[in-house]
Amino acid sequence: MVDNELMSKLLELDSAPGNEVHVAKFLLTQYKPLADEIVYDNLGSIYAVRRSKQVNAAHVMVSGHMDEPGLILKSFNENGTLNALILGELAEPALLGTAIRFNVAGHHIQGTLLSLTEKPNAVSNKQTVLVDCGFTSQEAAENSGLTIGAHATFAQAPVMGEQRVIAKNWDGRFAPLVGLALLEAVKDEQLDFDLYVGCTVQETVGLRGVQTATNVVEPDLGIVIDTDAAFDYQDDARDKIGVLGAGLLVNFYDKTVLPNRMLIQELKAICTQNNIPYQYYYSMAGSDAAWINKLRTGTPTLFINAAVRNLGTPSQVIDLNDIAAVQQALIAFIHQLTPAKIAAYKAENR
Amino acid sequence: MVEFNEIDLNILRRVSEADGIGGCEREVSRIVTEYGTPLVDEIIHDNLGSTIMHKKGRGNGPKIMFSAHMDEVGFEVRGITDSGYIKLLPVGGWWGHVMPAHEMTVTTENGDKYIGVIGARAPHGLPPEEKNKVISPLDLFLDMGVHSKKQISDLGIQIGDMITPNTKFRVMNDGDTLCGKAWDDRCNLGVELELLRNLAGESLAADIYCAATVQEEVGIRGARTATHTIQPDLAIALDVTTATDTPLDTAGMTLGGGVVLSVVDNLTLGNPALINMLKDIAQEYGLGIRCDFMTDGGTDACNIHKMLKGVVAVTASLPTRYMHSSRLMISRTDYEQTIKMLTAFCRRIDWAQVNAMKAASGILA
Repeated sequence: MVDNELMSKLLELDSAPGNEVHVAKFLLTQYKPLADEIVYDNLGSIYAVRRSKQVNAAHVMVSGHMDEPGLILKSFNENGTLNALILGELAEPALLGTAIRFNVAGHHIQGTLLSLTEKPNAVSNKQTVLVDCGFTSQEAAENSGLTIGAHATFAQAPVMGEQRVIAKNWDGRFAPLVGLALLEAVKDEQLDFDLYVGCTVQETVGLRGVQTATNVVEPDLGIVIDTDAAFDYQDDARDKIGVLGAGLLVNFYDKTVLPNRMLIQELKAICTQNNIPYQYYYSMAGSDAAWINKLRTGTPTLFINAAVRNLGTPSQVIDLNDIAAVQQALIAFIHQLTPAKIAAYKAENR
Repeated sequence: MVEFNEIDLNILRRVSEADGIGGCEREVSRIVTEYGTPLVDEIIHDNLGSTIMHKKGRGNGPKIMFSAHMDEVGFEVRGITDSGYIKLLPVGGWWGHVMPAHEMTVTTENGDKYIGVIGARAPHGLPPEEKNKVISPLDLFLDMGVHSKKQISDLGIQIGDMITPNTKFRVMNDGDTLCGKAWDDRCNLGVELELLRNLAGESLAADIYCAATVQEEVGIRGARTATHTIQPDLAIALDVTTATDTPLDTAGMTLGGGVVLSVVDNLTLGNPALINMLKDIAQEYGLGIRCDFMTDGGTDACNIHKMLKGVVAVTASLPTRYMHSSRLMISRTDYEQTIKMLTAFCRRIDWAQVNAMKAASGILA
């Protein structure tokens, strides 16, 4: 179900917030043969569009983010170390000694994070970290090609297990992977609505790209594909939710969006009809869906998500069966979608 | 012509007793639509469920928006224990102090309703540190009087279902104090409907849009989508403010003293000329009026005033006791005076007035 080759390629790319260009370029080459048209917003969000033959067709937006948490170079120190600022939410305990890499003109400059103090402490109260790339002087660092404003991400290589895959960027690569599976599945089909499948930028720094993308797409229906924290292994979890391998997440509540109730019913019905495993989930984290839902005159919005352990760390764990469940449900949902249903979702809460 | 109709308490009773948390306001919007349909020229919607009653003006007049939110604070079913207890997920702000031993209604996907009681501990033998602690809403639970998860699922109750207080509307012992759930902000749906009753059949300069918005308590969302749908020139958000006239709160915001205008709240500065116009009307009709300066909280106006190219706006509030609990109290006097003030406002607002309000913000050309 999951395209292993595509998955490997996506997981190796670096995509710090504000510098998602490597993923965007890769997606452009993948989208082109599957789309009638490619559209961008002015921050870099990208969508493959499948046009219908209907006049004034409804717009369906299938979207998730392609940025991963990262660092941005702030200044050089005399001894050759670097100061960098955290972009997005990184789990502090995962940072000290972790491998990171700058991506400069297509080649990597590897480094690690040092402690700021004698006691182990990788992050200052101003969200700054100290980076050691092995330079012996400020001059050596400056001559390496690194410039102020260069972006870095975690450097860990993916670990491809039979069932579980560990990677630095599931939060940021899940949506590109699932979106491509959808485009591939519907490539020979005529749809009764315009389908926009793509990825936003700058989600992890404050749900930014989704605002501009929504104004470009002008959706009538939104489906967000995202990752949520798994709470299936911690001793102190309040509720055991987001169980890896137990199926896609039916998010009935998110701090920033209340998913349309008729859409949730439809998703559950599709899962039941097709024997796709699902589990209930609620999230206190917030997501791109917030703005798709509340911009313009409002858009009924649904999540089709998967659980991930260790979000914000270089080793994020996902279960391949959960990805398969998300893909299968999303494809089935799009197959069963009609303009009349889109109108009904809009009218659901009247 | 009667200048102001006698109010219909049935409207208040019905909007109060309807169940509707954020994202699930349908019961409320259907009552609003039922009363509103004969009073206006059209009813329009945004795509999240806000219901907008439009009374057309004589043509080319300013668009005046009133906004009152339909959602109440409540819960969703977060989980179901093996013994059949329901775990609660607050939707809107709740304090553990006001929850135990209250009756709640669970509304299923099919609209079936079941009543349960929020469980509490008996005080017997509890150590003082336990007795003095407020229990977190996430740790409280709803006792449906069943004994298994299966019994809950046989009732059709699922995770995500809506939970709201089970409270009947009641006129209190002075004949003026009105007790019920969800006065935040359902009493102002009553204000909108009474306003439209007063204006029915009249020819006005302005187009009047009375919006019943969704999802205020979870982040002022419906006000955004409704504002985009209406594209108003001026907006008055109708909401409630905390009364402070009880033995526990003595700052002096009393029930019965008339409408409260928010000169400042945490997120909005009211338009000064609009505030003055409302004050003048209040004086003319002998209505009470108070000014409020709040440093926390916000209303639909927070989002309305800064949307599109900006909207002239203020919030008018009814003081309310026991907000975000199962039983709130408001005053019929405040309710009637708010309706009178807004009726007179709608009869006199026109482009000259709106332009004067823009001029008060320095917009002179």
